[in-house]
Amino acid sequence: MIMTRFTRHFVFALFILTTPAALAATPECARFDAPPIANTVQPRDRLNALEQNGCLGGDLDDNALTRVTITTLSTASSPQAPGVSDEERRQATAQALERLNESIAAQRAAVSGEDRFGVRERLQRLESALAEARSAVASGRSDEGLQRPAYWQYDRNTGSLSKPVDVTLRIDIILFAGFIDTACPALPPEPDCQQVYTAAQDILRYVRLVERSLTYYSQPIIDAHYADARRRDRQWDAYFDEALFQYPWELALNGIWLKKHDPRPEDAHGNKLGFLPPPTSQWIVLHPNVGLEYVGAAPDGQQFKPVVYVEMFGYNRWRWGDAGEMKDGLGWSVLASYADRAATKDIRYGVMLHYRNRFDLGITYSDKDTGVILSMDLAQAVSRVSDTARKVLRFGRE
Amino acid sequence: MAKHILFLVHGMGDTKPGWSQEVQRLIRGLYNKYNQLSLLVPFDQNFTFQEIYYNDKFDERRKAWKEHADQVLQAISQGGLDANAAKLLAGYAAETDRETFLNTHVLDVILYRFIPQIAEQIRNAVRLQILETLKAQPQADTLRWSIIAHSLGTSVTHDTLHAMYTQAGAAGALPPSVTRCKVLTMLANVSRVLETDADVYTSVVHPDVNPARGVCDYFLNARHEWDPIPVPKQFRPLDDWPNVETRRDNRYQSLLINAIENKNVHDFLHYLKNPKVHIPLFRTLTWQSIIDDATAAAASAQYEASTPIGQFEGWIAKLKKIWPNEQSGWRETIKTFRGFQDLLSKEG
Repeated sequence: MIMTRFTRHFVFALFILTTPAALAATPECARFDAPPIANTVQPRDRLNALEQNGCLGGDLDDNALTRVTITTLSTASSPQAPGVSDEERRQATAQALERLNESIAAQRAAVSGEDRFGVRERLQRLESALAEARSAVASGRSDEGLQRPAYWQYDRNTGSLSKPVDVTLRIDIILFAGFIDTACPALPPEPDCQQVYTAAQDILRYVRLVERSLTYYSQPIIDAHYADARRRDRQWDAYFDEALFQYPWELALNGIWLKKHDPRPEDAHGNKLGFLPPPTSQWIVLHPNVGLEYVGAAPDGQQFKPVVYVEMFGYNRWRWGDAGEMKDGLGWSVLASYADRAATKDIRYGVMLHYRNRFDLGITYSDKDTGVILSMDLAQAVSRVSDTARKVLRFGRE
Repeated sequence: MAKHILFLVHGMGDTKPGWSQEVQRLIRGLYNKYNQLSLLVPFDQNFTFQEIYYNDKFDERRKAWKEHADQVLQAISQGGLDANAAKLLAGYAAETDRETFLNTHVLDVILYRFIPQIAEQIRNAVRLQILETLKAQPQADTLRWSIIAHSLGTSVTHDTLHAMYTQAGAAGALPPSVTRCKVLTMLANVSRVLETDADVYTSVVHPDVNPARGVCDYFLNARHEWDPIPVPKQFRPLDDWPNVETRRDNRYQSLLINAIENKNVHDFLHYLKNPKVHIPLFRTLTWQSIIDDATAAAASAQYEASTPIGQFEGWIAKLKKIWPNEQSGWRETIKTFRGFQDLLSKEG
């Protein structure tokens, strides 16, 4: 069993190590190490260029290790397997990181003789950091740690990995000071330079591939936030498009109400945390409207008439479904209506019921007679409404 | 290859989808002027633009108020009714869509500052656009992104990022160590004068050397000395903001410029054209020494020589007359912006 594992690792390491670096360079990348750039640009800038352009562990890199790593990750997220579970994702990441670790270990073991510039030491530190990331992935840890991709971002100004304040999370590898800057002080490069330059490329390739693996591993976090953003976007659209229409003063008053009842926690500085949840209610204030009113006591021919009314004050509430849809809207308001009728009072007062933000039924009173105001949707449901009346009523329903 | 995404966030005004085309052309053109930069990091091979658009939220509200009010007014008139109170109220709402400066510029700022429902809809829409773009990137590749925001867009960007990285709930807060922007560039920053839910100096929107803190690697804050808009309560953090280590690493850069190429000193493009703005941007997107100091100094000198301040002395005198008080608040910003736009329209 042990032999089998050892043999597998040895063959893999041999395969990676015997792939000549020169063959791994695509034309877009090879130009950085060929004249005129190689003769005029400092090695640290060429190293930066290779890293930035995706030549070291990026998509322009034809290196065998890069291809193996990407294959491992992309197989798990291919279109043939669209529903990658978190566990499958974790396993693929763990597998990719294990291969990277084997490769780093093999390269470290292959460093022979006097290691004047500290290649072995840098690889050792990389291995240690990777061990911590692998352990976190293996155990599915979700706290802050080296399993997060940002810790593996390379700083092109200093030639180092990120510098967290927390020393336990530091990846202490610098590729400029004491490494390339020492081995390659001037152009043209001295013989020592090529060895260090190649080692720096290898380290950056490992680092980029670790970052890629961990970005893949972290994708569910982005997916969850994206899903939350989608749901809230639907809720806000519904708030403006499906809830009862709000005039500017209503929106402002509801805004004040919302802020007064803001449920979000605050940090130590009093800053609100997160997004304000979409409301589940609205106040109705001085809301002008038109409808169709039936007053039985009015003279024949004037019983069913268009009416203008103002909802003076009211309240409407609903709840949100799982997908962000608005459900169970129910509300009421106190109103004053106006219609020009003979034999009855022009101005009448009453109450209105709002159901599912679509059906509005109002009852108005004046002296002893009672009237009924219908919204267009409700009027259509209970009676034949003339085209003229429909046109009059067709506001806010388009 | 997954490219570095440059999100562009617009400011106030009558903005339409596709608004960023000119900004994109300008950035690409400026970038390619620097030989070493374009040789070692070809722009199109490494960067891509993503336009952020939120002006539709303002437009939708204005349009809806106008339409509803018009329909009520029309119904009142067709019904032969005479309801003064309803007419008056509907008339107010109908005013919001008139093509006036007040409605297309100032109203947007007021709506964003004072109507939390609209502000939240916008913040969430911007968040969605950012996350949608990030989600669309190849899963087995690294995520690199930056934001360039202008004017009202700086406030929207600040508020969105703060909420995005502090959101509680089932998903928990988005950890910056999973993804955060590389360079946050604020041009004519008005985030402080318009702040509501989070104080710009203590919010999580800051650069940090520690990937677990802050929301970006680098924060560039550009202000034109003759741009009156970002003057009230201008964004000017103390020297140890957000912490000493981050400042020592030059992660926050205050870019103060004063060359005037044209009278609209508040313009998005006018800011970017200045080498003292775009060189720090290009350097932080790549690395510092890719544009050496001699090249940077020569580019600035050349730009300043082509924009002699003497030709704008009269304009500066007019700007001084509308110059806002630095201690005043959002009212002064709106008043100044209106005064500035009036000046611009009078001068052609």
